[in-house]
Amino acid sequence: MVPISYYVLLSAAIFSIGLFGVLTRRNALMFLISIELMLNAANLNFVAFSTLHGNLTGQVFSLFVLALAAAEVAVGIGIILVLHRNFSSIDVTKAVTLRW
Amino acid sequence: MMETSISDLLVFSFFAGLTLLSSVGVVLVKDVWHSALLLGVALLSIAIHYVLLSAEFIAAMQVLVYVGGVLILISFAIMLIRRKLDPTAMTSPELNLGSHLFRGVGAIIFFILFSTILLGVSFTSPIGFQDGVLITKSIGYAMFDLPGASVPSEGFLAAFEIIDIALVAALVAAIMLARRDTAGEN
Repeated sequence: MVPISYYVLLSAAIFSIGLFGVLTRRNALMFLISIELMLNAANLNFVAFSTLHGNLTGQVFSLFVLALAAAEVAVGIGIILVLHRNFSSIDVTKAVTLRW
Repeated sequence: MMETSISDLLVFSFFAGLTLLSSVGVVLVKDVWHSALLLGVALLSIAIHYVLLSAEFIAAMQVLVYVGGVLILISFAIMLIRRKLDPTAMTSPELNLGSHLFRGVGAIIFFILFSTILLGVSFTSPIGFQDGVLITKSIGYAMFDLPGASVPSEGFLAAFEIIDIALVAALVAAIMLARRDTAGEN
C-alpha cells in the first residue's frame, strides 16, 4: 500500500473542496452535498490511520460517522423542504428571518 | 510492515485523481442534479480507497449508506424542490463575484496551510493487518465490546447505544419537519 501521507493529503484536498463548496455556493442542497464530501474526507482519514496502526478503532469510528451522516442528511433535507415551503427558495442568503 | 509497489501507486493515483476531479466537479458544476451525480462518483471512488486500505466492510457500508441511501435522499429532495423553481433560481457557483471569490480563496489557503504542515510530519510506515485476520468479525466484536476479536480495538458499546438514540431522534425530527400542519394554512 502507498504511504499514509498520500491518503492524508487526499483527504485534506477533499475536505478543502467541500469547504470551498460550503463557502461559495448559496443553494442549501449544495451545502448538504459539500458537507457529505467533508465527512467523507474525515472518514478516509479514520480508515487510513486504522490501517497505519493495525488497530480497528478508526474503522469502527468511521462506521459511526457514516450512521450520523445518514441522520444528518435526513434532518437536513427535512429542514430544506421546510425552507422551500416557507420561502419558496432554497437560497440560504434569502432566509434571514425567524418568522415569515 | 508493508512496502509500496508500483501497481499500488498506479491504482492509488488513478482513483485519487478520479476522487479529486469528481469532487471539484461537485462544487463547480452549475446544476444541482449534476453535482449530486458527481457526488455519487466521488463516494464510489472513496469506497475503492477503503478497499485499498483493507477496510472492505466500511467500503460496503459506504456504498450501501451513502450511494444507496444519502444520494437517493438528495435526489428526492432535488426533484421535490426543483418543480416549481425556474432554472435561474438554482444558484450558480458565481465565482466571478468578489465576496465569493474571497471565500473560495480562503478554502484554498486552508488546503495549502494544511498540506505544508502535513508534509513536515513524518509518519511511520503502515503496520496494516496480517493476512487471515477477520476484520469484519473483529469490527462486530469491537462494536459490542466483546472479547474474542483478532484485531485490537477499543470497545464501543456505549457509543453504539448513543448512536442508536441519535438515529431515532433524527428519524422523529425528520418526520416532524416533513409533516404538513393539517390545521395550518400550508
